[in-house]
Amino acid sequence: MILEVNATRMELMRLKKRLKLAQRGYDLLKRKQDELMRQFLELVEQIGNLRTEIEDRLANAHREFLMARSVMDRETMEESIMFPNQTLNMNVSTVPVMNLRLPRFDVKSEGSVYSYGLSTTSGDLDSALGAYSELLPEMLRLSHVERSVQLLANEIEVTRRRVNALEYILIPNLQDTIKYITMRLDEMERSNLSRLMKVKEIVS
Amino acid sequence: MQEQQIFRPSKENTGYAYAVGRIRAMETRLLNGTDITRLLEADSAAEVIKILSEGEYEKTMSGISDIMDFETALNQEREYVYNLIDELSLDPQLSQIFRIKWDFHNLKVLLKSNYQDGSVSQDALVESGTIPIEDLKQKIQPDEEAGNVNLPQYINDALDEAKESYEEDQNPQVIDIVIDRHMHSFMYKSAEDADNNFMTGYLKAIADLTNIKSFIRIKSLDETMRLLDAVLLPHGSLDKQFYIKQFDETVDNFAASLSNTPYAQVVAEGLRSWPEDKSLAVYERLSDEYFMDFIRKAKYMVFGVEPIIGYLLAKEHEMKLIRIIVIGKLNDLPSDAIKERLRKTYV
Repeated sequence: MILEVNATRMELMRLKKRLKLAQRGYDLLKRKQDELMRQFLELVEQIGNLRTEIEDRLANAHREFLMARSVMDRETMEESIMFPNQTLNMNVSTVPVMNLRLPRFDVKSEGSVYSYGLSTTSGDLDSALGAYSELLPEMLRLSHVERSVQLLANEIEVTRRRVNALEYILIPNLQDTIKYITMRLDEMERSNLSRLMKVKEIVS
Repeated sequence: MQEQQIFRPSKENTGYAYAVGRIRAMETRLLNGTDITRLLEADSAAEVIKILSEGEYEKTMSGISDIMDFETALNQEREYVYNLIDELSLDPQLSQIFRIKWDFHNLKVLLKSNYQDGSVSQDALVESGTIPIEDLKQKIQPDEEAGNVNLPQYINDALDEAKESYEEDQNPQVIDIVIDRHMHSFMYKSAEDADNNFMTGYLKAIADLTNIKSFIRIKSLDETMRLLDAVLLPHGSLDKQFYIKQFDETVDNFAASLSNTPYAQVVAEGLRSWPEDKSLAVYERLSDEYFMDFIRKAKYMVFGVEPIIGYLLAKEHEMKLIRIIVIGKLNDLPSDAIKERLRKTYV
């Protein structure tokens, strides 16, 4: 599509500058899109493995807890886990990737997760709480990786829209307009030339 | 190790003849292996409750509207059995010995909540104890206007030591450890004072099998000898030093050292799969069956308080089986998985 501009040499120069800028922008955005895509695919693969692993381990931990719960009465179970001895400190930071700030959760725990007596509790409770305790940092890792994937996906979508806009709309339009103006100017040049030749012929 | 002579001559205890007669009639209504299989084969937890409410559990289970209330129904059933035992037993110390464990339980709950924000989950407290919960609360969180309460010495002792230990260590685990130890000591001494060899033998077995389990758990969790020393229950037939000396040994060597004790079979079979799965589920099942075998001896006694105690313990065991089945069904566990956890019945 030809833009609505005056077919002047001034405009041609301006459009050429715009085209050059658009092509540079396009190259940069294309490279950004490729890099985002590479990171995105890497994280998606990580998520797939991490999620499957966590889900399996979580299901095992639930099963252990269920077993412990079935051999302990409700009140003893409540009493055993009502006063945790472990404190968790979560540090939330961000990692810059392109113009994005991807979240990162780091957790540090202090104290033991086993805060109950051993006489009235089942051994399955140790296994369940041990498994839950090991899983918590993994679950936090999964959550920040999943959030990163979401943010990357949004960014890739926006970038792709921009790349497409440049590639299929702005750059072809500019090229068409430049071509049109060049042709118009050439045409004007030729008509001017022939007019001059005609004038010269009349004069002589 | 020689088997202990646990029973006194029954002719000394003819005062319980009527009670034993009633217990004998009630024993026939305990769930047997066939009943358990029927529960196991039920399609859902609701069906398990339905089957139970058609039988001995009619009073407590038939009114359940929400399946999750089955624990409340089991608590009511337990309360019903305690009341029955209170009524049948001529010796208040013996009839109350099972209620007292709930006093210690409530003490743990209230003390732990006191060291947190003071709020207590009602699901954690049990009203089957001998001391009103309000009295325990008043002792732990004194309210000036309510006045002083006098609690039994054994509760005061447990409370004082638990408080002192917690304030020193700042670890809630010590509350459980100290109170569990006081509870076991108190129960053992009560049984000893009542000159009841059946109960002392039973409590000795509990101490031993619990201590063996604690030893393995501590090894498995890579905990310290100090913790082992603290958690070992007193009054077992194997003394503390036996465990302490073996602390650096592997679990296999420890299990081998128990080969001359009455627990050899429980330990050998219970720990067979332990190196692979680190699970004590089989050991716990076999321990419960060991207790049940021990209690079952009371079935053959004509007189004495033992059949009454045996019935109560059998009923508690039966409620545990019901809990395993209902929770398994509620969570769609396959019957085989539930079956693995099920213990033998009393009858």
